[in-house]
Amino acid sequence: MMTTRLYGTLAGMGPDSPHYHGAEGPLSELSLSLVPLAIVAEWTRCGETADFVARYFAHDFDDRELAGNVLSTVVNELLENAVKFASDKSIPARLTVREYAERLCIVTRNVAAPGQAAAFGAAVSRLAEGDPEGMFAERIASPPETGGAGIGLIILRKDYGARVGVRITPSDDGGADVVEVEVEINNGDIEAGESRA
Amino acid sequence: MSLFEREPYSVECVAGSDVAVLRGVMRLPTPAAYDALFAPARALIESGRPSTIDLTGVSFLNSSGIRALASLVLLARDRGAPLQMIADDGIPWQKKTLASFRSISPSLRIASR
Amino acid sequence: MKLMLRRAESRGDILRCRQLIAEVYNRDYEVVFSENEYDLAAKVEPWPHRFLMALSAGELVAACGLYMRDTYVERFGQVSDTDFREVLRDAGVEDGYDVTRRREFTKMSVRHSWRGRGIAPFLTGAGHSRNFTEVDADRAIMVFCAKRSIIDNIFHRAGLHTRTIKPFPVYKVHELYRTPTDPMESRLILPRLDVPERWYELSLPGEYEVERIPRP
Repeated sequence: MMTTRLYGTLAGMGPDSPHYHGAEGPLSELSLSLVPLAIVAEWTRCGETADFVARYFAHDFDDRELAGNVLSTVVNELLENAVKFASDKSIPARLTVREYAERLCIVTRNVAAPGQAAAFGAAVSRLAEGDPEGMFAERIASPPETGGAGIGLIILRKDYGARVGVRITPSDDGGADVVEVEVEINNGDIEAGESRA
Repeated sequence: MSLFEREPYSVECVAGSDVAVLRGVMRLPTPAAYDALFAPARALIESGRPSTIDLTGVSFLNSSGIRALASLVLLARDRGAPLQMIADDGIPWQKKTLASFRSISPSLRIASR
Repeated sequence: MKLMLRRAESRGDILRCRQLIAEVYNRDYEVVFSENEYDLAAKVEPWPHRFLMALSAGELVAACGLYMRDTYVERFGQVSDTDFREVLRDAGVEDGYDVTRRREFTKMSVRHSWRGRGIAPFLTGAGHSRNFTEVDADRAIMVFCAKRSIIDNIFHRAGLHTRTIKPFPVYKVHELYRTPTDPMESRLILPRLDVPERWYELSLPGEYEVERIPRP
């Protein structure tokens, strides 16, 4: 059996993960299973889904408009990536948001081509360790994304204080990997409008 | 209001002015998808005249759009064309992300509204 | 190989066709779709109004679409009524068709795993059946835009006669489709005149043997 590989900063990947915060379960949780092809077939669904998820959780913040805007931005970014990088867009991807007392955790899960997944994982490791401003400038200067941690994740880390982790589970038969991307943001960063990273 | 009512996105350059006004929710699929949309702003910069990009009407801009916008900043920098952006600090992506453009072009002016 | 051909009628049928076309077009050309917020410059394509399904043992293996109005050719190809009338005049059939009534054959997509079996020319021919296009109801003309290699290898291979209208402008959405040596054109097909009877009178729904048509 192939081994799961972890990259970046991982706070928790759900109840079945050794990293799950068992002592402090989420106060609220929303999970969506969606077929990436449906978003390809109607691109506006991506933003609509992000807006819906954002509105759902923004109710728990003092400044709903601000929190909703930030959450929609973050969720949209992750959902776009899950759709774009799904190697088989007919296989459902998953978006899960868990709200804790002090933070929000957003996880996407999709299948990805093995080579693509490994390169992405390595890029997320670099993102966790590197200077996000420097990486942003470097990314802007380089050709468009061909995989790896694109400018979207760099922006989430740089501007929203997001902690980013990736779990890659290879398939046993050499097929597609399952890629889970987790982004964790402090509720304070969502409300304050300032990055505390 | 209809469940599907949506603010359309647009880029307009008022004739005779050097201001490109961007409006709406911009979540196009790729950076290249912004090429045609941002063409009026690109043309302004390529003219070499001091130009302004008004972003105050853009409530959302995804990372593909931020990358495309950054390309305009780089273009202005490389051409030595003065460029100013007008931002709305009440819109999170503008308050947070635009400041990073100064790291790629120190001469970029960002005015807040 | 036998295929069942039928028009997509139910919401489920339409959804299946959209999913197949979306998968093929996204994989081959990196485009996405939207019902109302299409933007060719941003590689967001509009959906056709009608679909024809090709099924093998219930599995949708190919599909094609039809714009019943607001065709691609007129919206994005910059083709005017005058341009259409000119082609009809050259064909000597100016009064035989109503150029303001247009249908456009589009989005012909075959699942990758089903390619190489002659489905593309077959479905393209079938897509010009009056039972799908209903051109006889209002003397409509048929139009389409495609790159020259597709026109030759698919449309002409199916036995359709096509008439050049004008070159199709360059859009970002076609960057992975067309090349300078294989440009796109808007073309016109006159129902009855340019569509062989085997296609024009093809009954739908129906099950048909797909024979591979040799390249010209």
